[in-house]
Amino acid sequence: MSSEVLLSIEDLEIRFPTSQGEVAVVTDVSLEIRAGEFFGLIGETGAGKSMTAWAAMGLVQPPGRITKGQVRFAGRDLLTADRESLRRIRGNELAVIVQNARAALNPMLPIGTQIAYAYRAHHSVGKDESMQRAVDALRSVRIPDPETRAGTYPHELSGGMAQRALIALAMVNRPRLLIADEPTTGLDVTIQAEILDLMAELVAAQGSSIWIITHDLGVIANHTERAAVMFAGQIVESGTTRDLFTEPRHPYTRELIESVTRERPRNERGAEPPDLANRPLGCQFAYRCDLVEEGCRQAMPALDVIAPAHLLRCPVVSREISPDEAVTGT
Amino acid sequence: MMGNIATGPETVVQAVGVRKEFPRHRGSGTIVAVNDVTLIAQRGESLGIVGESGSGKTTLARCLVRLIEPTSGRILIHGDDVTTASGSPLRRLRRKFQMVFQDPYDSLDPRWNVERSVEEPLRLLTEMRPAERRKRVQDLLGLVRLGGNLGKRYPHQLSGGQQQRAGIARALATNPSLIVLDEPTSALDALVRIEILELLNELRRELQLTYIYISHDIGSVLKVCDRIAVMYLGRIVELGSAHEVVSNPMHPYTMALMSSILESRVDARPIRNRLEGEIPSAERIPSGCVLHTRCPVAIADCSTTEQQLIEVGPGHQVACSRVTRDDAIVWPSGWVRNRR
Amino acid sequence: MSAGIALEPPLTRSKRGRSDVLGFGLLLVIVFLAVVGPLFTSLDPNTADPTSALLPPSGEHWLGTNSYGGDVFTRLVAAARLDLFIGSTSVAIAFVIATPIGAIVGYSRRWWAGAVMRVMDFIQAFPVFIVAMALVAVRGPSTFNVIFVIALLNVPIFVRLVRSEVLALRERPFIEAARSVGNSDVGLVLHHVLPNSLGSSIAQASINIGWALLLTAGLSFVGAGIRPPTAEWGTMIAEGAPNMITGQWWISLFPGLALGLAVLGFALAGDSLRAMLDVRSRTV
Repeated sequence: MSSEVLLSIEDLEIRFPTSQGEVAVVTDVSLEIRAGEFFGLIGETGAGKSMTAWAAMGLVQPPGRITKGQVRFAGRDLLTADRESLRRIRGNELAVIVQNARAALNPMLPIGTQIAYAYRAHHSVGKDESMQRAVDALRSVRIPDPETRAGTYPHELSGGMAQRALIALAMVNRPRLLIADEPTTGLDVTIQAEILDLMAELVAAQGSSIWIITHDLGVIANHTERAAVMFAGQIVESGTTRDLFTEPRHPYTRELIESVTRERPRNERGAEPPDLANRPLGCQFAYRCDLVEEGCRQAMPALDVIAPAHLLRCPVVSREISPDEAVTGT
Repeated sequence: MMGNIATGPETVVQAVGVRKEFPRHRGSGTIVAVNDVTLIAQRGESLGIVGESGSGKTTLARCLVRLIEPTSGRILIHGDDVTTASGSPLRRLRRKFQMVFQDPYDSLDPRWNVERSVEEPLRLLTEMRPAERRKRVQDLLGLVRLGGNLGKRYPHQLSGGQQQRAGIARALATNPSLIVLDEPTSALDALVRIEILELLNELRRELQLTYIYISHDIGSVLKVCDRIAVMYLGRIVELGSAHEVVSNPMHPYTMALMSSILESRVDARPIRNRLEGEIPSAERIPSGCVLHTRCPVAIADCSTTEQQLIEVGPGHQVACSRVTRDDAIVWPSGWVRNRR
Repeated sequence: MSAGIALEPPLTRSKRGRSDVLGFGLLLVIVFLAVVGPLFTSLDPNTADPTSALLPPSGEHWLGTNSYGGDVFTRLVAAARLDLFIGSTSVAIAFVIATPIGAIVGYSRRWWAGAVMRVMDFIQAFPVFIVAMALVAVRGPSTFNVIFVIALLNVPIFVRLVRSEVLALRERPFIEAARSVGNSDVGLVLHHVLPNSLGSSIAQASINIGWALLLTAGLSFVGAGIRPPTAEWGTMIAEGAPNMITGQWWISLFPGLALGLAVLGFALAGDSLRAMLDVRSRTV
């Protein structure tokens, strides 16, 4: 794994108007994805993880707006890029797959044609060659009988097949980074496992990176090397997947991991989601944290570096780990 | 085939040879969604029904609470035959069995507040007076921890977990002995899911309820169920205690299913007992054993002989004659049969 | 691939607000005129006073007089009452008749549901105005007959609307849940299906009252509806039509304006009602 940074997000903040005023759905988010790595973004519904990914693709549109921060892909600034530059990157070096594959595909075109279009959008070749590439792509995602299947329409496919087709569409231009937003939620269990294995294989073969966004801890544990945990629009902890699962530090991460593995009695305070429209001062998790102290509610905790490549947004725990030095990092 | 569990005064629900057919979308003939399902649950027991799309588990659930009528077979609740009941006799029987639905928000009338939704079964199925009903509603809301003013709120003002608690309170209103739960937590986030599962366990203990718990998520089934029935294309292929079925599956389909569980552990060794191809659509159910088109150890006989559930251990039944005959089966390389 | 995220419906809140105000404002003015207007005038809308014929708007006759001396303002206000009465009554009758039909037809899966819809198709297949004229020709011109005709023409519209709402609602989980807690089919439709499906019908009703006004005025204009000298916006416009050439613009213009503004008011109000009553367009 090289240490070349492929995607870097710094201090990202995204706001949306709602009936209760403007709400920050993502705030103070910074992360890095390196070439060839599998990165996971964990969070429950509303944590802001999908929104972060959309921002990375320059797809946040009014009434939402990015009020702070930078997004750089392979050195290029995505937020200030013009349409043509973005067009050249998206679908080409940066590809996306989403949860409901059948809805993400164009219902009017056969899947082979869609993939061929995607190829021609970034390579000047003729129809025949692009269709050949499309069939190859379908074969690489193990769709049986790809020449014939290239003529099927999305609604004729099962959920698992449609997801494979979407992966083929995303991978045909050999992207450097594949963003997968809940790629297997809603699919049958046996299909989920297969799709994830398939994605991992393809990406490894091409040397690409994957950014998986999900609430499913099993997916993260089995397929990522590094991960970040989001809560209430912020990153609360990030590090290697192994560290996060074997030694979770942030109270929220601990709640997530330990309750799923049944190692700790549940927090009595309940698991009600945060109210993004009425953000408290200070730590966003304080209202249901059992380690909460006075200082937690007074000022927003920063992300501390508690170990190489391990960030934590909890001064109470940081202090426990290294009582003399509180190194305030990113 | 009822196995070793005899029926008796403690039997809450019994399904005998239940079959449900639907007319085809195109052309004539029918689609069989549930094919010859027999199961039984005693008081205080929790039976999980696990399967993927096309397994028929959702259709079976709806038959059990008589939202639809089985094409054939019988369903008995506390000995009463509810299979063909309708109209007011059915309504009188409904007090004893209720359902918790998958979509926490959409299973509540958006124009009714929580109290009104929870009170409805009392109004329709009991003879309680208004004051008695109001008190019971408050008791129920307390039981599911929806106290304070939450009862006056409307569904869109509640979180997913709160909405589902309201649904559970409504299901408990008439003091039923059987609750059928159709994927009650699949729409909820991880931590809220655990809260609801714990609540369900608590309620079952306190109120001596019987659960039929439908889910595709083995993790939650393990937390809530004593026994598991695995369904595939309308039939039960394996039935046994939850722990047994998950850690020592005997049917090839169960083996494949259990191996696909992604454990939330970094060091879990990935096992992938793969089945060929994809689940056939319900319009083209394979002949003989429903799994034979995808099964790695299928032989000629499998395509012609329908499989029956046969006991292989105490309370553990499998619908695979190769396994029950103890054939010398050559499993594919890499195929792992026991989990740990 | 999806192109972006939008959390708000197409019309931002401020634009919605302006049309709300305009719609309801206009309605308020018209209703006010109809109800309170007569107090501002001591004249009888149906009297003739040839000595005051064809007078332009002045302090004494705010909107002028027509060719036989009738005060335009007095007549306008009386017409407002009549037109609003016809419009709202006919639509209300259609609504009350059509809603149960639409609900039953939408909820039931029996064969006769289709037959009922074919009858509706049949009624709707005829050009509205021709049917109206024919029916009034057969039954004679009178307020009652005009109401009858308009109600008849509105029934299929509401049946279709309610039916489509019910069809969608029928499949929702809370309807299933309501069945499992013991509702009979009738109870389901009455307590759960109808209340949730009325939103768009009520909005449509407002718009249809506007159409009813136009139809009434149109029929009366061609002499097939309300007959003069009864004050009705259509008849008033007809009365004043020949006078436009000779320069007495006020006789037709004011009723025409009143009609136009009333229809606009009902249309905008209907739109606002639809937005307000539709649960789906509620922002987070």
